[in-house]
Amino acid sequence: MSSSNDLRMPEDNSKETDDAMKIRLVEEISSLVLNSFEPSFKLPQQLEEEEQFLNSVTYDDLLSKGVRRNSGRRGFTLVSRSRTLLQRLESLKNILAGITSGIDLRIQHAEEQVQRMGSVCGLAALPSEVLSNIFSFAIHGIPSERPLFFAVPLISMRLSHVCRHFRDVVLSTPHFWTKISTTPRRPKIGLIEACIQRSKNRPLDIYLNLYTSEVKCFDPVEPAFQRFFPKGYPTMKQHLESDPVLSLLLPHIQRWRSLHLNYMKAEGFSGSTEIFEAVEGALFPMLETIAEYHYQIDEDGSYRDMPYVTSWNAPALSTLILCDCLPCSNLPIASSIKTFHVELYALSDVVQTLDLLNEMQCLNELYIDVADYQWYKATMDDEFIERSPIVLEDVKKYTFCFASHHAADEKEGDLERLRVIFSKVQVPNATHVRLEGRKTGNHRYLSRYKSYPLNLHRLLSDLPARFPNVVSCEISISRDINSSTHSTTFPLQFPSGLEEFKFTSNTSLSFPEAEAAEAVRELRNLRNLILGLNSLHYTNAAKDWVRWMVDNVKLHGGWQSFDRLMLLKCEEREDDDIYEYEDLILRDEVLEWCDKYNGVPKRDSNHTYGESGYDSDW
Amino acid sequence: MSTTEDKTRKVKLVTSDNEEFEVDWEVATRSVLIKHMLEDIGESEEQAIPLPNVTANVLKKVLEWCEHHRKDPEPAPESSDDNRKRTLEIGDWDAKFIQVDQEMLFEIILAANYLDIKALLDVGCKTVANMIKGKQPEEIRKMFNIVNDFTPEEEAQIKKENEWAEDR
Repeated sequence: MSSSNDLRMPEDNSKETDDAMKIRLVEEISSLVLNSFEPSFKLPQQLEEEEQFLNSVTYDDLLSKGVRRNSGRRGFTLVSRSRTLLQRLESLKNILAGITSGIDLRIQHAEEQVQRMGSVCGLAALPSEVLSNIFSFAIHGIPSERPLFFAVPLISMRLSHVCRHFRDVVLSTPHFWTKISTTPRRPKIGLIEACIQRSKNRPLDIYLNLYTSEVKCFDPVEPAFQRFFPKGYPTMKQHLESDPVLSLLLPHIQRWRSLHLNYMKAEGFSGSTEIFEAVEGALFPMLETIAEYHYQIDEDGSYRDMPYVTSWNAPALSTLILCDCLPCSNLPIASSIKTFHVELYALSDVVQTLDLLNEMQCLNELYIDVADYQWYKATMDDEFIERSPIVLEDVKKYTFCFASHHAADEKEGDLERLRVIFSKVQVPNATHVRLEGRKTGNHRYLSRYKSYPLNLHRLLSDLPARFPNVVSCEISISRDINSSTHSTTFPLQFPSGLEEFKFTSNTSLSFPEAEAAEAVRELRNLRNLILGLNSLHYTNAAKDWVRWMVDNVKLHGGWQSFDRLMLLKCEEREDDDIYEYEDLILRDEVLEWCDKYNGVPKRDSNHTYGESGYDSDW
Repeated sequence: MSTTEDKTRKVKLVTSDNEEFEVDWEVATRSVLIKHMLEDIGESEEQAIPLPNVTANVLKKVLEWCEHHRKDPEPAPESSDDNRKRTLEIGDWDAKFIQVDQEMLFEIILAANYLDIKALLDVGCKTVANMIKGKQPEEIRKMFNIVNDFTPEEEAQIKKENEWAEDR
């Protein structure tokens, strides 16, 4: 028994040199690669033959023909040959593994290159006008409705420091330098000067900090008491100090397009109290917006009455944004205001605001925020309660923000007070309405607020009468984070022309079935329904409410024009909840979604829920 | 103004890699470019619209967006000078749609620019703007693999400008 194909052992240097071994391995790997194109796996010919030979060896053959020993009788020949085959296969595998590992690394690098080249080529391929559009969003785009007093010019400056192409685009676009804002107490004068210069003759949007501080003063004293108070009566008075950049901006009032004043407390008075005295009675030809932000409800109210406004000649003024402040008396420019945004903290301000609104008969857009209203500051008198509502015929867009815990408080009267305020403004022709119930920090110490449900369907029971022409309505409810006892009922009343309705809530939800049976609305125009749910709370009632909405749409022949139900996923945050797109349910799949939806929270909890979704401990 | 006939009409689009897409007229005309080309061709023609600057995989993605927004009202013309009301917020569905790698993101932006779909272009631009915002120049360079190609003179000017940003 023998074979002419006797494999040489790799370690046998006397038989095979390194060069010969390399040549053999190259040939074998080459053969393996060629064989890989065949349907079945095959070894290089020599190895294949050796394997076949070893496969053919039987015990009977060995018994009949005898067992051969290696030369020098150093073992059995057949064992040596099979071991050699194994070693040859292993060495091939090691080489191929090394190659594979090397290729893997290169593949990883190549993938990174694809990403890198994709971004390099993509960015370089963008035409300048598209790059300019991106920069415009980065510089002027604001993440929320409230303007931020951060140093906007820094964004333009940083973009101009990335590369020459970016710098060319940023420096050649004047409107990237029109927003002027400064860091409190640390104005970057050089940057502001650059903004004024680089914005050429474009209109400027100015965000200016003003500082209030208490200063010890002495009031005149009667002669009889002068020996006790030789300097006069000591009193503390508030002083207002301007930001140093104001002096750079005053020579450019003809370019002022919007002026945002942020009043803040400063540690000590150090500068000039002269603010706008130098421009009293001046013409501001481009000024469209005035905004004032005060956050000092506990202070004596100094500087809250915007005295400068009455003397300014601002023919283009159309937007007024006020936070915790109101003009002192009749505002000459009120009749030209088209957009009014007001945040109120006290009842006296609500009364004053209604007077002001009465003069704003050209108003298109109205935003009222009473979320931080503090009821304990005032008692609502009968005169206010009986006051006729202000009717604003031209308002198309209306937003009303309130504190969710006020709306939920049916026992202590907060809801009633909120209802009264809500009823004092009528916008019968509004087409876009947003009602936002917010969580606010100031109620957390009052235990009575903690477990009330928010009966939204009752709060908004007169929605169709209040807003008969609404086509787009958004209702958003947010209550304290981690407060599983809160619940909100779905709204049941809708204006008949409604086309899009968005409802988001971070609380558990319930569907008031009995009231729903009495509240059939003509929802024939509804096209889009957007629903934001919090999977951490009990939202099973959503399927009943959606089914009820669908029934109403069908009942009034609107089903064919209904388009889709969009689902949003709520992520609770300390301040503002985030809603992300989750799913899109097309018209014909909506009822199937209702059948399948499971709104029971997936969490370990000792909480139990009643049939309606209310917590059982209510 | 679209007619009822338009809404039932199909439109053929041919990409740069010769793939043909047949889509509803209402979907295709989210693109102002295609809308104008269809107006030029006339209603009776069944001619395919060539799109030599868009590949099939990008057009597929763009059409997915157009399909979702087929019934949106046409965007109002925007004053190029007034950017104050610009918001960085992206709609819920759009935010999910635009979660793609950088290469595809730029491809979508280029396609939206070429096809003249302003709302889609804005979604792409806002996405890049959100990536840029709040970052230092070096971070932006790293994110987009941009080479710092300033001359020594320009570097000196930049150094001077950086002093403006330092707190006093």
